[in-house]
Amino acid sequence: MKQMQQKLRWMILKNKRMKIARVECDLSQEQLAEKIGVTRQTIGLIESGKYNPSINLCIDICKALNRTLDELFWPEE
Amino acid sequence: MFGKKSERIHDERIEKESNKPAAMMFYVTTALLVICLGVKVVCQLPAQVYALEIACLVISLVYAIADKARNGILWMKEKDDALVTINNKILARAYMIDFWMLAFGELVFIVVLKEYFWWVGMYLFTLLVPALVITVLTLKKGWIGWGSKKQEKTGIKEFRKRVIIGSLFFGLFVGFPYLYSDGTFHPEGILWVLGLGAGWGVMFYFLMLGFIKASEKKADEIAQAAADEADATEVEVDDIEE
Repeated sequence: MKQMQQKLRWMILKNKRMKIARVECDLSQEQLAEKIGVTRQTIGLIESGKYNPSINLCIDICKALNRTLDELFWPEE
Repeated sequence: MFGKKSERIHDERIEKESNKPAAMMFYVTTALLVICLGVKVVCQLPAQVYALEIACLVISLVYAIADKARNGILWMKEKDDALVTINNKILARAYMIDFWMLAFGELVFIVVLKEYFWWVGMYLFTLLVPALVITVLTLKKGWIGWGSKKQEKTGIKEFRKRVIIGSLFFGLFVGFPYLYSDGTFHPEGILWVLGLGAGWGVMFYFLMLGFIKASEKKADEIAQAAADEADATEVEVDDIEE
């Protein structure tokens, strides 16, 4: 039960990290989407965990938010 | 969406999602083309009446098989997500080959095969059924949109230009008999060309803008629902931990 909770917490945090990074860069979803070249709805779906971006899109997001892949998308131990 | 190529959004999520029904519609279109071909052959019509079906089937199938072979997925039974994505992309392109060949071929045949007009009209059915399915899905899933306010501004400008050009072509194509017939040029036919073009253009412009707006609204609803669900899940986890 505890493991399941931790897994669920990690899943939520994984997507929150991107949102937190975006807010720290003072970017709206629309602004981030424009920077990367996707729709704002896609950014929203990635942040809410409903869409798994490809590695190329992950890299574009990291570049736009000045973060590494580990910081935004790698699971915490 | 309608902006300059360099400024257009290339959203992998929308491409992946919209390729799924397009790939399915390739199979539907192929089946409808085979049925059309069968009916025309059984009715012993001349070969030129079903030449378009044969051309569409051959070209799209050869393309699909060749591209699948090039990507090494022709004979693979088990496919992971990445291979399914590639497969759908190839079949979606094959469907677009069928679509455009039917759209232009039909116009050419209507002019060339006037005596078989009603038979050529079967193409409309083959074209419209899959296109309607994809249109409804596009609207329901919110796959079409401007993407951002900036894209909307540049997109609408480009869209207007394209509608004007398209309207002129439409007016010229449909109004040509009024412009030039019996070997003589009729200046009053220009009014027909402009009138028909303007009529179609205005209708298409507002219809398309309404369609895009409705689709974007749907896309926003889907994104918002996902965000609300994610927030609700976090609250549940917090409750469990307490």
